[in-house]
Amino acid sequence: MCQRRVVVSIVAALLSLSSAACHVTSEPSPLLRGTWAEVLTVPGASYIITLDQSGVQLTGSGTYTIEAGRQGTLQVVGTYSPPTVALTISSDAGDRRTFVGTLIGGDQLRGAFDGSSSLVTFARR
Amino acid sequence: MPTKKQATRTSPAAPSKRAKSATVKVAAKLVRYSKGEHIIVAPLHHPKPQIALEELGKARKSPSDSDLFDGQTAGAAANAHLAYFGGPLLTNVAVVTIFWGKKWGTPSGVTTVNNLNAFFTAILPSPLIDQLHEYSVPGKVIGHGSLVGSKVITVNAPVVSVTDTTIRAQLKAWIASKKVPKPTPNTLYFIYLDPGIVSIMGGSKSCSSYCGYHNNISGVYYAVMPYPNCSGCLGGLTAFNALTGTSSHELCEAITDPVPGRGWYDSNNGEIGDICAWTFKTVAGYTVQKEWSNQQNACV
Repeated sequence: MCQRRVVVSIVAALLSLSSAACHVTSEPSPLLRGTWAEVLTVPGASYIITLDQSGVQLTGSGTYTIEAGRQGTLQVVGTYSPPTVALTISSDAGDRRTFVGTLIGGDQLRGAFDGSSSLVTFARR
Repeated sequence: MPTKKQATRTSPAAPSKRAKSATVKVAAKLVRYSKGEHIIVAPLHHPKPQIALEELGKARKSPSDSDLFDGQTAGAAANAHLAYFGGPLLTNVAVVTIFWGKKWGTPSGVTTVNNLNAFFTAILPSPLIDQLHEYSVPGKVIGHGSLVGSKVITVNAPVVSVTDTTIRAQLKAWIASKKVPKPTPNTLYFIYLDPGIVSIMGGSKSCSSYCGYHNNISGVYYAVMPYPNCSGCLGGLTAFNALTGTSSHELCEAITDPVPGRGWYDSNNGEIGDICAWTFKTVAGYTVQKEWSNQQNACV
């Protein structure tokens, strides 16, 4: 009887651990959901994306305005594996850029486009 | 930045306290111009120029290519209105063109240089400048401008990319060594970069964030014009027409808002050219961008 109790306790503990482990590896919270604007230093330019998050998958759309240039729309796909955010952003002009960065404090994405060493920041709107 | 309410037109002669306060805020924000040069210049990942200089040289021989335009035009923003924040204006702009790069010295480059100078010679006394007269304020009446100088400079030419900090230092050096005319309160230096050279301004780059920009160094006004070699800055235009279109955009912005945010500015929509970005018309045979008119409440 006592032995059975021990076995039950062990099984319960294992189940609990298993549950905890599942919790750890569960999908990330939808922290990326929302609108993000690249912080740009040139007046007249903007680069804004709105993301939706389902688990690790990101999708979205956006708009851009190039100072003294054209403006248009953006399509976004990507992944979020905390803390890394990877986005592929395609413009209606046919350009494709890859952003890889990290989520900082819930309201900033900091990283770089296309492997460049120039850091860019997206701020939550 | 000024708030939406603060963007209402203020008395040019005596800007309101709100406007002054807004100006300070704008200025504070724009401090990033000079601080933003922490960028490490990376190897260029941009493609080679899609348009050769030779093509530019032929551009003026082609009929108007406005039909080729397939870029999206910007609808004028609702409630756009430029307010005056009390800063300087370029009343009779004196343009100096500087072609910085080794390719500008080649035969095809020289053709383009001549064509761009012809563009300024034609456009500065044109109706495009006349329409800016409505932004005159007491003591600062905007009138025709002129092309007062031009220089091809190959020394220290950028190879891959060039930052705004480098351009500012170089411009000061050119002025000090009298390679270019000395600045007056109306002087505007237009600096054209070689094809393939990426311009870097703070965290922003040409093509992805801008096709040109204007700025100032303590009363020395300048515009930087990277060579258009990407869809965002061509949008279906020939390179030459894209250059005249973006040059006219920066020209009109520099005349009406030479210190960004301190002249005529809309807190929500930007400068005179931003409101009408990438909408074009033909003036004196050249492609120029439409500009916002407060009086007509439209891009004209």
